[in-house]
Amino acid sequence: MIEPHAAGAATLATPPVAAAAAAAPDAPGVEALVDTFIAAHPGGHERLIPLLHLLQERLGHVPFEAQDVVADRLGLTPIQVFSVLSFYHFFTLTPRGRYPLKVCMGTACFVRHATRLIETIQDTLGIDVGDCTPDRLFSLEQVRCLGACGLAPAVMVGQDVHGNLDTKAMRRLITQLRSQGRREAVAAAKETPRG
Amino acid sequence: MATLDPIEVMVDGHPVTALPGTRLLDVLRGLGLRIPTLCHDDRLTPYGGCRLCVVTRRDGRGGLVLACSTPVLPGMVIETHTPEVVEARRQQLQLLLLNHRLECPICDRRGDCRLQELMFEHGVSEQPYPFERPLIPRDESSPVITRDPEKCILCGKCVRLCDEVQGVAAIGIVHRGLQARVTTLLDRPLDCEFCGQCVNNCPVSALVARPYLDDTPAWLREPATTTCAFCSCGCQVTGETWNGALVRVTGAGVDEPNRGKLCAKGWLGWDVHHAPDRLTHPLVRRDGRLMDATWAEALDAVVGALRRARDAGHRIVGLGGSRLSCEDAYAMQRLMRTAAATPHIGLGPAGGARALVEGMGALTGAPRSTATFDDVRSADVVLVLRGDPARTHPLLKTELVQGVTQRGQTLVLAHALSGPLDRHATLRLPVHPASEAALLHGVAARLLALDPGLASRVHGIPGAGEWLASLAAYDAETVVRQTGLDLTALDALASVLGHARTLATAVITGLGIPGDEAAVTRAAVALDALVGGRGVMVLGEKANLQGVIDAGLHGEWLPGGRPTASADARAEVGVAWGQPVPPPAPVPLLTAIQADGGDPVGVLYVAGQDPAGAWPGGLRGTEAVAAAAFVVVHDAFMSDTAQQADVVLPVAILGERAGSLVAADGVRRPLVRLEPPPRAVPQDRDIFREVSARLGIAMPEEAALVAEMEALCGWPRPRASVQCLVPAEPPAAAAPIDGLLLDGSPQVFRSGSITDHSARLQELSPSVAVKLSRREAAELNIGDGDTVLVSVGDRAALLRARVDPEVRPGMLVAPWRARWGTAASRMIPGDEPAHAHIRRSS
Ligand code: SF4
Ligand code: SF4
Ligand code: SF4
Ligand code: FES
Ligand code: FES
Repeated sequence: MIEPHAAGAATLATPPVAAAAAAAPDAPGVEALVDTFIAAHPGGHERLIPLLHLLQERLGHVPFEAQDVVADRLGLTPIQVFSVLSFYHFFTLTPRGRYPLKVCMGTACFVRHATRLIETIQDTLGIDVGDCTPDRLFSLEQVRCLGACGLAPAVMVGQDVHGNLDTKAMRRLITQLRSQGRREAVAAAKETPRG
Repeated sequence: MATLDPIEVMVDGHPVTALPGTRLLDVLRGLGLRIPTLCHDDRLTPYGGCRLCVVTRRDGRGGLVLACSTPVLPGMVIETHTPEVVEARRQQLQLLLLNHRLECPICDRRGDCRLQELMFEHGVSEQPYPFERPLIPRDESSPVITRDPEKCILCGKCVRLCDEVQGVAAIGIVHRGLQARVTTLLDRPLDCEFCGQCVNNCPVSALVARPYLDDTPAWLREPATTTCAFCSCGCQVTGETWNGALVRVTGAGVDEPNRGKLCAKGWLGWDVHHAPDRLTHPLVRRDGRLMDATWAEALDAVVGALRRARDAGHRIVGLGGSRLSCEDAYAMQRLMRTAAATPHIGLGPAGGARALVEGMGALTGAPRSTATFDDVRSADVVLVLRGDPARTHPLLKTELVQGVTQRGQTLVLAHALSGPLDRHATLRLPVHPASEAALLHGVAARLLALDPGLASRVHGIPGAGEWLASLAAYDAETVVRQTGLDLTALDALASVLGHARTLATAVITGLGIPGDEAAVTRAAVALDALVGGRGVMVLGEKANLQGVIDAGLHGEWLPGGRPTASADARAEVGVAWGQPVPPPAPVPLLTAIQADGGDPVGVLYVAGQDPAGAWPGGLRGTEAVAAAAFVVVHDAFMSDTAQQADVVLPVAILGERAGSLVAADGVRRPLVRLEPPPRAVPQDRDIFREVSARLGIAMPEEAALVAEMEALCGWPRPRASVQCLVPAEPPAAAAPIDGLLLDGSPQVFRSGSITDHSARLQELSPSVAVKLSRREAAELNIGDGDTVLVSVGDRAALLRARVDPEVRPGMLVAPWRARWGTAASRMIPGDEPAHAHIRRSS
């Protein structure tokens, strides 16, 4: 669209990445993020996926409100954006924790009381299915058969499958992941000092 | 077109030549080979989704390739029926069945399903995989369209048509793998243009139209193809009937101009045939009241009134409409010019009539467009003036969307209103209402300032000097003031036009669009001559504007584009009729109807218009109808004019008619009867013929009448070209905009009095409301559903308000003519923009 009233092809400086990243996840206005990206990357619809990546990275998810902004700026309709987003597992609608807990609800796991694992997680972390803890460490999802029926009930965390879990083992796993997360956060802070 | 040398390829062992870059599929099909496809569509960019079009390639890397998305290359060796091809197709069909609830014997599409045919051909009857099909319930939440995800084979045609052709993109494929399905955002009910493109091209029964759900299997339905009569695009539609009733309507295959595409009106609007309020009996006024009468009584009354007026020398006025077929229009003007002996005939303010006659006719000597749909398709820049074709001329809209999305066409849209095409425009110029002509004069002046040599393009044309001189009044400052655009915008337009290799211009017309359609048309023709464009296409509001003028139903034009002013032309037509032809009327038709100059109207004979209900209030149609001594109306419904008439005669409409229509592209296409009209009401020309006979002049019978008309009209008419130029009218004193602009021009589902009677179209736009932008809603404290008083000068109406984010600030959008309420037509003065005020009432 040639907008007659637009200020022409003014080249904007590269986006202030560090500043945006340093702020709390909700802080950078979605519109600002999108507009900065658009200004720095002239082009067409091929910018959709990089833009969604940027939002997923900065916000931890790409909510519908953000999709609307993307659609508007790229001249797409919201369903076109959602269609692409929903194709890639990488993008999520709700925030995903550093350790996404995927509890298997397949038949084998279900009959071996997978629901109790869900309840344990809900009690321990205080989050529902689809939610994320405020510190963004854990999120909870239900999935279909993980293909590990022999280990039922099973929970997948990232790429790792943990099997034969009971409520106690589940709690232990959470504690273990929590301290691992803290260690990693401290290490990361040391490695990339910001000024 | 660049000429490319043909290349040679081998197909199934035979050498074949093809043009480089052609799709392999087209080459193979051109040879008459049957290559199955499910996801391919000629109107879409290649997709490669269904993998059924595989063929074996023997040269190069070899292996199976997709014919639909592989271009031919020199030396290619292709085999189309190898065992691996057959096996690949079988397996692919089995995979597709993973997504498909197989129930052919009870399916709505049985006998008319691409998948069923291919399964049969390939001996596939089930899928052998150990997966469960996800169960997703049928979605009936949308109006008209039902989606059945368990039938969907994910060919993506619906999604791509909605995006690439319709430009709406209301649906998408979400998720992946077995979970993938077609849906709207958050599975909401469809809120789209209901063009039916998705439904009519779904290869299976995953999308069906509830109005056309029918128990009759395909092989029992009888198809017939006719021309849509809802607008002037001329779309070919196929109606399928069973037991004489229309049970299904689709776009007719690959026929021009629409190549299978339709809009909501052409797809669904046919229920008008059976509208409960159709007129089925003649009505005659007795003791002040319209009463049922027999045809004999009604015709006696009409003939008596015409005879008295003719013999007493009272003025007889024949007002036709562009819904008439060519045959009906021809019969009407013949009756009026001979038996009724009156020169006062024509179309009055019918949308586009002035653009053709005083616009095209004035500069080319022929009242018709100089560009066709093909010109619009192949031009690299298209300039659209005065309105949004998505609202008025949906086929043109799809052509422009395809041009932009598929061929990188540059689309310039210059008008004051808002509409769905806005989002596709390359350059959107939201000019002040009624300032399109000023914009064109201004850009012509600017192009000439940049490149004075351009003037040589028009030097040979009579009047060019005067035209060039008149442009001096359109300096940048004036144009900026008149159009409200800034200089950057004007320069952007000049640059687009200056660089255009080919330009085509479309002028949209319709009652309620502000501005002088004839002046815009003349400005467009002059600009086209200056930049060496392809021509100008005038899109009449109603179906047969061009045909009605071709057939001679216009005071200034006799059949076949012969000027009435020419004595030779009158003599020529007079010989064909065996009757003298009256010279042109001394006053324009509108003046004659309004009885200006004190000559009262003895008989006002109206066929196909509603001056009392549908004319802009400022044209005083209601007053004219009231003042006429005797009023005859042909109509299918009780229009406002009919209510005041002395005789009302019911007639056949739309797909109940036989004959022909000439669309905006100048091509004459057949009207074929799909259904009989209720109570066998006649076509307009049957009545005209009878009246003429009773007045003592027998018109030829049907076949002879058609032959006489064709001989005089000489279709197809040759392409006209510019013969002279006239000076641009001096810039008007820019009227200050006071209040909001009232936009009463046609809306997507509501484009005139006929669509008002379609229950299906009404369901799609249920509320008779005035739409306003969020800004005005906030400023004036008006909420959705509030009752508001809208006024223009001293005319006012109470309407319900709807806040619509699509409406541009500063505007109000109101239905032109609405059956259950009052409407914009009463409030709008005429050609001038209507400045309206709105406030909450209560
Ligand atoms: S009816 Fe037309 S606009 Fe609506 S979803 Fe189907 S293709 Fe798109
Ligand atoms: S609904 Fe029909 S057209 Fe759309 S993807 Fe499914 S099968 Fe294809
Ligand atoms: S675009 Fe016009 S001619 Fe085509 S289907 Fe729609 S109303 Fe009919
Ligand atoms: S059912 Fe849980 S892993 Fe298969
Ligand atoms: S037609 Fe070629 S992949 Fe579908």
